[in-house]
Amino acid sequence: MSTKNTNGSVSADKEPTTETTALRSIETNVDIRAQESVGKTQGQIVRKRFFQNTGAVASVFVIIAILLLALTSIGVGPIPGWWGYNHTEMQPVLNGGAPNATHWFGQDATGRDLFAMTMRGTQNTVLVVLLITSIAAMLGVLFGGLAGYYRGWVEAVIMRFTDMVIIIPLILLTAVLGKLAGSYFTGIWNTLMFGIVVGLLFWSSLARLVRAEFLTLREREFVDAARLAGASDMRIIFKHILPNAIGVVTVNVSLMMSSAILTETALSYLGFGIKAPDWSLGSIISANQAAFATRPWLFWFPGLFILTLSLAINFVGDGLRDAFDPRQKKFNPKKATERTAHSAENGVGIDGFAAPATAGLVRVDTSIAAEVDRPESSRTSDSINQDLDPQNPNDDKRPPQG
Amino acid sequence: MFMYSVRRLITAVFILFGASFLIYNLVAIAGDPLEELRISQSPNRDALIAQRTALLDLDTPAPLRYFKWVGGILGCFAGKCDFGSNLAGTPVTQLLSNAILQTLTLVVASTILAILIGISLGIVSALRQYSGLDYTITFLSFLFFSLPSFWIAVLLKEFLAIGFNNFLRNPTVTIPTTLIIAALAGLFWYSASFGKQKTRYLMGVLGFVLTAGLIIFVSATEWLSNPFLGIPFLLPLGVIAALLFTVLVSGMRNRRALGAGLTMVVVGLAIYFPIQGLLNQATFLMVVLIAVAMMLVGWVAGLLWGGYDKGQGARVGMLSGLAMALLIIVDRFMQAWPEYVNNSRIKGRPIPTANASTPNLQGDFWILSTDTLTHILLPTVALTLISLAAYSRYSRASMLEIMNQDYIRTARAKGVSERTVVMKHAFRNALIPLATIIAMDIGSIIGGAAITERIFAFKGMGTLFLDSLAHTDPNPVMGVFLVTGIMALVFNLVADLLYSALDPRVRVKA
Repeated sequence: MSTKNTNGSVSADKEPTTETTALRSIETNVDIRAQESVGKTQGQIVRKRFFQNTGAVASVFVIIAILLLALTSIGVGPIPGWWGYNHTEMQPVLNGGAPNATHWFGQDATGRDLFAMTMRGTQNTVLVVLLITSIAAMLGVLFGGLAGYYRGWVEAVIMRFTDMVIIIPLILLTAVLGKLAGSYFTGIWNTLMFGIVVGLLFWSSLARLVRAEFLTLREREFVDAARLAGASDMRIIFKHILPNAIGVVTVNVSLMMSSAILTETALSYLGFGIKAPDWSLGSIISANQAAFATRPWLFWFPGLFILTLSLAINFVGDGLRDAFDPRQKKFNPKKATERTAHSAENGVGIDGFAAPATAGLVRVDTSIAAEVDRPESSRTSDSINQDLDPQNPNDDKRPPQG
Repeated sequence: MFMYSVRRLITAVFILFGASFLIYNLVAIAGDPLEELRISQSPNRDALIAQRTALLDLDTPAPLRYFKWVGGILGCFAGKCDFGSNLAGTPVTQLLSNAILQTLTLVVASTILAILIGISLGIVSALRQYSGLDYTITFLSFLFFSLPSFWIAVLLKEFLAIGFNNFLRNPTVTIPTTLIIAALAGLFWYSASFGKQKTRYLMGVLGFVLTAGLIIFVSATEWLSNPFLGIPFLLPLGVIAALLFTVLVSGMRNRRALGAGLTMVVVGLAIYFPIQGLLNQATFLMVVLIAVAMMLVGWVAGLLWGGYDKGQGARVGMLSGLAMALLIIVDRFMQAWPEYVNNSRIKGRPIPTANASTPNLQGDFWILSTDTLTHILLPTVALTLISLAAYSRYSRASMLEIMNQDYIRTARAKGVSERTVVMKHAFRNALIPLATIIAMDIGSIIGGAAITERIFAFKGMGTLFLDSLAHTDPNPVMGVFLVTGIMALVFNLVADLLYSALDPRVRVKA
């Protein structure tokens, strides 16, 4: 049953009773918990927890690196970058267009430089995604907040409208909007309008979540206190409740961003988004997918950029979720090892969950130790924290989130 | 409950009206259906414009035209549906019914697979939290979740289809490849297994040996070009299935349940030869009936074995019966495989990269079904990969939350076996939030996987929608919206009702 049972060989005199092991594990956890949050603001705690998450921090750096690369290489607007080619001019095709020292990502059939095209595509994709998410985040927070705070007919109207938008598959709805933007605007305006109109109908799921969060927060004492102090509704919504709902908003906006990347590239791929001669990462793939057998790099590079961006944003979103959620403690392998070592000395097992090891088989446990560490196995390290929260005075200051 | 449903349905009707009004006008201002005619050089241009204007009633402004359109839809209640027609004059109802059929063949398999695989992966990774396996599954979930579907689809076409077809020409695996694959499989089994370190090593080695043996066997007998199961495989596979279901449903201690499962294996083997004649003239209905019959026999067998908990035996019998039926059917498909591959329309390249079926393919039920299956293989893999990520994340989170509950500790403390804790106390409760998510997803599958359909040239709802939108053809676009909207609303309601039925703490307000 215990998989990595490091304490399997602990001598009999160190065998703890159930009570002492339970107590010990509680003590250790309280210590760790208190150290983590004593005398810190919520922002500091969240930041600390986020920075402990290696994957999320690495993803932030990846995103920054990609953005810097995209912005500096071909430059923005009139400002030139350090890359010698741009996404429209046709160069003589070198070496069949395969990637080489002059054209890092190779060239397409007409000799355009794929690196410049990919960078241009990244810029456009990021621009559209930022437009979509910022508009959708504002609207989602506004509508969700109003619905959750005022209840009554305001809620009814807003939520029915949300339902109207939410029942339509996003990709179908956004395709119509992309087409709409494409038929009235061209060039950079098409790109901007595409982001704006899609953002105008992208907020529905966020509005639902924000509303749910507001519904619980508006019943809290600090809202009553603010109201008694004479604060206006808008002040209560934006200065008192919203900061407490920031976790839900941040996490979901970051996840919305990754979904916006996939939506934007998919629409551009289908021809309803950014149109040639300008490029989105999706439209580069769509323009070149027939050439997979002969020029696979035209397909690989933009695809990998989409994948990397989307994956990195997902990791950041997940890291934020862990950081904001007081019930979940981010697992830190280093600390866990220390704790394992520490508790192994005291004869406490640290198994995580006991897996269905003895599934259905008649269990023949000869040693008492095996019987003893069974209940422990499910409540070491992580699981116990949530039971212990009330013991920790700092937790009372935390808003309920997640 | 009834009043609640009625009230929800009435609200749904209004939401539907609102949404369709919104979309109708958006579609109307998104593009001008006459644009392609205006720029055309054709001599009868004006006549064509007038004809199309009349067809789509373009002289009426869009908000008013919407009500005429709704009138046609409401005609469905009077027995005469009028969804309008597309630019070519085909009624939208006809387009929709074809498209729905195609979409369903495409998405049903992938939805079921994604749910089954996703939930199992999520549960396993929750049970082995923070293990190498958990990290791997988590990373893969994120990866699949972030994959652009159009990108993975092209990759699958290129590597899975074309690669496999090329491989089939000379289906032998070299020794180094065998060893690498077997080593990976061994590693997987090692990390997936649990128990003592020794057991885990044993599982790893076993996984390595079995995989290597399997690959060598497949390679040596050219199994891929001439696949078969037959009695030699049906017996061990059936026994494994029976054991697995017994472990999952009732635990090995329930010998009678195991007996029921094994009985079904024997039954399956017994009917294997007699049923072949029947299967040669199979239809889809017959295949389904055979599976259902086997499940019924299994149910009865479980009850006949009796014992303290007959229900468990009956369930094991039923599942084993289904497994045997599926194995027999798969075996029959395999018998048809060489004929299919060597068919003059297939020319030895069985995995197609586009379309829903091979045109002009002649053959019996098995050949045609094999054809459908090979055509949906790639899109199914693509869709499954993309959607299983969400399921595995949800079920992992849900399972972790449940495993931390007090009642799980209580169950453990009173000595309930780990299998019972996981399968009965935890798993069932972890499924409750998943049930609503699944219900909503099923509601939205009819909208089709627009991009996947487009790439694999399936003429389903998604393609119908995108093509019509590209040609500024409003009526089919609205038809797709209406059908998806209705499905989404109905299944949203189903999800809510399901939730309150599954979780007694949740009560719907009547």
